[in-house]
Amino acid sequence: MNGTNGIGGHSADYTQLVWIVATLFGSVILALLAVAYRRARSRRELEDAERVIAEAFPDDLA
Amino acid sequence: MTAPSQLSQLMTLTCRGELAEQPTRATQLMLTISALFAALVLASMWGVAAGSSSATMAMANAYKVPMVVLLSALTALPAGLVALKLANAKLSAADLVSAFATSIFGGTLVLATLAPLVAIYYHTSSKAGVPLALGSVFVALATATMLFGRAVKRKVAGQPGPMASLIPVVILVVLFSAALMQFVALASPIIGAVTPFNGGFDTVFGR
Repeated sequence: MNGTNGIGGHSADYTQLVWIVATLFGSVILALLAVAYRRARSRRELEDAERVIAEAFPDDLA
Repeated sequence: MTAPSQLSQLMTLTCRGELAEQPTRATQLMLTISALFAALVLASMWGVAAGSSSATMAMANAYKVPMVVLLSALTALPAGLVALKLANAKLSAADLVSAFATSIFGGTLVLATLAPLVAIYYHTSSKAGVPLALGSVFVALATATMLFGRAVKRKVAGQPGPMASLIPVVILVVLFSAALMQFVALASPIIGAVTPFNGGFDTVFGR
């Protein structure tokens, strides 16, 4: 997949291994970003709800 | 009034560098992650076009090119954040990351826009296909750099020492490009032809 020769004087197998490790790392980061996105969305929904309540009942906050 | 969609906000952020209203931290984080995910999808589209000479390469590029973009950004980001702190810039880390993500989105938007042209030339011209594919990458890099600089400049406008905020921008762009070159070499072949970028730094700057 990565050609017959690796890069930087390394073998093709070594280059392939580096790419697989890097890809796994990237995949983990993507999963973490997806979790962070879901948490941020929940937080924003909460903020939106708090804002709506604050606008609907301004006297209760005073 | 209905709230603007995420894509609409993302485009506004990319084109203007800031939103009409200051977003909350949660909204900013969502937009940053959305920009990155959208960028990966757009990069994937370019990858499929650039690798369309064979079905296997096109399918492999659908994950290889986004991964190259993601890994290059992740490699550059820590140095950019450290530079931001060391330069004592007024720009917040969240703003820098957000501007970086939206500029990557802008760059990959250019890539995806040029993808059909790359694909058609790839199949119909023996001379222009590869240069056009490589050229589209450089155009995208230049666009992303311009968007990044502009977004950061707008965020620090009116604050003391705006030049300090541009140091991490330069560092991020240089490191992103350096990492990109090596990840492209690791993931090669991306384009169905031998280019100097297949061997990374050694062949690009070698004799």
